[in-house]
Amino acid sequence: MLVFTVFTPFVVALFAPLLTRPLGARAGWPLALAFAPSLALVALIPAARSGMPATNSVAWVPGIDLSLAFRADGFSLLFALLVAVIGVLVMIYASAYLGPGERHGRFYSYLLLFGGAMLGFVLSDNLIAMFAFWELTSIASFLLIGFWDERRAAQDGAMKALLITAAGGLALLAAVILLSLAGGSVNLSQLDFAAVREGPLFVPTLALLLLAALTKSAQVPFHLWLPTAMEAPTPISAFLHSATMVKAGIVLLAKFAPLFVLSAWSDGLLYLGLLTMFWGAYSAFKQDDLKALLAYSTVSQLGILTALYGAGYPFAATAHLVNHAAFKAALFLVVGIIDHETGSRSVRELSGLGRKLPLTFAVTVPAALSMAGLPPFGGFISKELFYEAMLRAGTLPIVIAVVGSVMTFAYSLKFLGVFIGPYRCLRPHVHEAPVWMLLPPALLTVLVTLFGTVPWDATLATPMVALAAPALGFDAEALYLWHGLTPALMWSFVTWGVGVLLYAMREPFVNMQRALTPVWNANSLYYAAVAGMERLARLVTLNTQNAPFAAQLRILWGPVALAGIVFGFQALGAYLPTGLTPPPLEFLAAALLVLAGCYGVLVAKTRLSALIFTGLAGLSLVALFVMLRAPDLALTQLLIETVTVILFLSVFRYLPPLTRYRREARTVLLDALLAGSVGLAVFSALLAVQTPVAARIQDFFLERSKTEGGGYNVVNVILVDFRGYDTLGEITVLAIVGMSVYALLKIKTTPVKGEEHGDG
Amino acid sequence: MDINWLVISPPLVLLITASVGVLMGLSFRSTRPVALLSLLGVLVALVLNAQLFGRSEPLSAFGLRYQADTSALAFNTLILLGTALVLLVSFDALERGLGGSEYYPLMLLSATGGMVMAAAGDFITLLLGLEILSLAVYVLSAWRPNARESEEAGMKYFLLGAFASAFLIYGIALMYGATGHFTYARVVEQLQAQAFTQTALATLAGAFILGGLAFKAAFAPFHQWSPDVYTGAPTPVTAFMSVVVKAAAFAALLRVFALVYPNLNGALTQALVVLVALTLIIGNLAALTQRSVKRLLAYSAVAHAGYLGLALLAADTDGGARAVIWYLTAYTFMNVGAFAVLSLLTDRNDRGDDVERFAGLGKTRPYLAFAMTLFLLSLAGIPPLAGFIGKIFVFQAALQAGYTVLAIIAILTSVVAAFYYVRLISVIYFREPEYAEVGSKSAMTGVAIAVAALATVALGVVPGWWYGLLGVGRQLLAGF
Repeated sequence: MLVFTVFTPFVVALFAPLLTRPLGARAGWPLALAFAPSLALVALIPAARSGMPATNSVAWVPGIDLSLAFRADGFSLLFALLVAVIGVLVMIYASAYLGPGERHGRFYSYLLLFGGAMLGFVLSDNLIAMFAFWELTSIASFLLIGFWDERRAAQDGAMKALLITAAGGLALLAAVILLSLAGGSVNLSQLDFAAVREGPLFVPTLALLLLAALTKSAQVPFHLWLPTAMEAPTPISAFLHSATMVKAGIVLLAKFAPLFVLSAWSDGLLYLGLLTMFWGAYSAFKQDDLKALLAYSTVSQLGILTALYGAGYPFAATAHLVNHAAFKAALFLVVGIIDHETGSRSVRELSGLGRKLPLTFAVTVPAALSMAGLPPFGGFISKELFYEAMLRAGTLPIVIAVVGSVMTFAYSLKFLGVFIGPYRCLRPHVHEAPVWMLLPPALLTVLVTLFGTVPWDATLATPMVALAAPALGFDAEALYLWHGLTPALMWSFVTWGVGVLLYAMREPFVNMQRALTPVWNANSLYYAAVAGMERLARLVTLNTQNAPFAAQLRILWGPVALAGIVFGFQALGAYLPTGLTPPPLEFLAAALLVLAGCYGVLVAKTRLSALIFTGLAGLSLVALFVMLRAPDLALTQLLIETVTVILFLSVFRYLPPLTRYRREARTVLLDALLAGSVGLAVFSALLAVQTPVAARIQDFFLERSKTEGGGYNVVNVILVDFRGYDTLGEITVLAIVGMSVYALLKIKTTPVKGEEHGDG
Repeated sequence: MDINWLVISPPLVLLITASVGVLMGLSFRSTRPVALLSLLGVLVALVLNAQLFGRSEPLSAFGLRYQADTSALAFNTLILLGTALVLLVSFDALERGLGGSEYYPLMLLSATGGMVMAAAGDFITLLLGLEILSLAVYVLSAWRPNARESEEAGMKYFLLGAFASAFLIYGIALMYGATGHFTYARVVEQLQAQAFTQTALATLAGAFILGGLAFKAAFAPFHQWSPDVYTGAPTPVTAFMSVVVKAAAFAALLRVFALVYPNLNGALTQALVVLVALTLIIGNLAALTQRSVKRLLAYSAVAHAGYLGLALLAADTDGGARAVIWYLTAYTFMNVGAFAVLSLLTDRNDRGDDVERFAGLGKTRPYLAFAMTLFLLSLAGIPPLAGFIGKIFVFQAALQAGYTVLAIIAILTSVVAAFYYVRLISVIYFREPEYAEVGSKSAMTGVAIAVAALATVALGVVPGWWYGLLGVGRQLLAGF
């Protein structure tokens, strides 16, 4: 069932274009059915509540325990239902929102792809599969942000979002592999958290895991991708970038809380979350664009969730997670309506819309007030829980929380401000949105209101939050609107009071904010980082690419030279035969001549002189062979020398004059050192091979040359008898070489006509 | 001496086809008959190779010098598949102006060498395979008529390759000096013996062999040749080098790293760690700055050698060895696919491979654009494509073997990689077309692209089948 639930949206996504062709945007209606199986997950609630969650698994790669194992525990189920409900609403909304000229097929396919990926992510029990779905959500997000691909900002936003979340995703991959190695299982439900905590790689594991969570959930300083992600169509912003995908990181924190709660990491997350909360709210207040305001507001609210889950308050966090998803999605959809009807999203251009759009206004009020944290709406209850938690956490946390909430209150009023006051709008005829655009936010608003007014009801807020209790290991309390005169409530009064003041003073305050804005921010850091990466890349490329041939050779020979230096002397000591007698003088003379020939090649100015020096070295070698009483070797060598010289001479006439490149003294020294070390390596290698490791084979031939080969000349017998086939092969090779040489010499060199030069 | 004809039949068929192809090429003006013959030969070899899979008895020929174990059979499957795809890509590209039907026999000879390398059970066979493989490729790199950079590519590759072979030969000679044997099994036996004293020499030998093979596998800083040669060579040949030559090099590396290196000085493993780290960093960063797609793919190929190297470090575990083969499987399809798309966009003489060629491809040639996107996403390791599963195997093997830092470097560089792959995708879809007439069409190349695209998806969605096959029956590497 779970597998079916997760894969239905994927399969439907493939066929979405078939439906959009005849139906256009209205295809959203039938396509919304893709979420029907996930809505049916409601049936699994009793099982989840009893602590025996439904599971379902399909083997994927048996070899490494990679299976698509799904597990519908309470928390996952809660989130999956959230995804399904908002998904359906967004599809219906989009059917009215999208204009006739849009690429509907692509839009719905991407949206369903995302829906499936998100469901897969929350329901996955297998860590690797969880990672795969996580990455898929990033890809879907990339595609949807870049949906209006002719806009430059959309391209930039899409790329930025992908880079940051995909980087986090790869960190997650490493984290889950480390987790499964240390925790003894690839399934989350069977992971031994204690073993992971005590493992030697606990710190990198957790750091990688948190990096993934914080990038995905847009925590400071990774928050920068979320505001620019708002280039996506508004239904997408509502669905991905406020209600579901950005909470994937939060889900990760919630699920892996046992790893870090009650440690220093927990404090770190608390303050990071609060910092994000403050910074998001502060920035949101500054915005004129309603969508940007909501984007920063989302950053801020994600900060609250990080602080709560991070510091170990899953109950308050889960309550807020549900509330936030509902009111923020509603508000985004409202912004979509405003944009759709008035053609603007700017606070400066819009005012008094309540008169022309009374229904939209009615939908907005509860949602905005819930965001502000006013009773009797859901947001109030979860904000009280947040305050209580922060009061327990200490003085500094509650102060930051209150300051952040004051700004939250103020920007919520600012949002509502476009509906009140004198009517102002750029477009002359403004009327209510189609019913199918109004209904989805209206439904969410009703939920928001019911969460606040009847929170203890057996079918609403309390049981919803309680559903997550067994999975996250907290004691579910009942949610109440009235808690009595608690310190938290006192702080709420302070919040509202100062918040109203702040809203009244918004002009000077925003001006002050503008004046205080530093020239750099997370965004400029991002661009600097990208530019820095490019610079570094260019530097690396310049220094490694197109190295001249000589430099490439130096690199190639470098390791051998190194080996020569490191092992060469050692090898000399081990393999140099002892008891050597000095060679006769004439040997020395011949050897010196060989050396002289080699040196001559190095300094020769023309090819011909170099050839002559090669000949000198070769012929001296022949002399050495003669002295060592090896006439056959000498003869062979002589023959080779002659052939080589003839061959060289015959091709020299095709070659341009020899050019010698100047080398600096430093390079010459380096090359000499390189050559010396390589020589040492080769010499020690030769010595080593002289040492007999196997039985000597000479005696075998000496014994049997006469009896079995019938000849006294052992060398001849070997050549024509013992290794006759070898000789035959060699003769064949020689014949082929001879023919090739003949063919080469016969080629007439005609200059190539119209030789093109490479562009490469 | 046991010559097990059945076991050596796959490379033998290629050899015979190549010889027949040379003669046949003389009697036709078109290159197509030889191309079809070559394709037939490869397919027959593929069938012969496939029927060896899953046999329970150990398969070898020439007294353990040719080992047809699971690893060899798997690598040979890859080499043959890669060759078949490249033959399809060459089919029309050659007719368009590259000319010369000797091209196909040379390619088959090279593939034969690769197969011998993959199955080599001793150092001499390895060297033989390597030379057969390389010599043909040197010639093929210089195949573009009247193109300076192609001639340069061939010459450069030949000269540097000759040095690399020299390394390998010295290494082998030293190993023989230290142990008195060429066969891996006997060498290992010697190395493990109590009385063995030539440790220093064996280590030196190991260093030489590593250097020679690292050159072929294009590990930084021995990668210098590969971008130049990849760019200069005709695109189908580049595709061939990037998959078949690489597969053969890694087949050899896998065997020596799994069998011989664990018995040598640990410094060699550390050396490989350094090489892998350098490869990952240099390959990915250099790819980032390229304007030519061919060169970008060349550096991306270098970078992928880094990921393969990561798994190679864990070669002595079953997971590591399988990861190398699996990753190469994914890599073969996605890389040939990408080069095949590129080959349809370049000029008659295979010129013009800058990024602008891809601008607006999404509008002008949507199917080609979609396939290219698929290959690029897979190269970037995006689920649920083949490259993604490959990355998981590789990371898992590396982390299991304890290379945490290296894995983290790999992850960071993967982000860089995602950047340049996705940037190319955004050029395909977000930019307006800049070239009025976009490249050529070819049904055969289309078939290759389709096969590669299907395999890229299939390997990602159902990776279990091939992965399971790698573990069937016998051990992956004989003598494990």
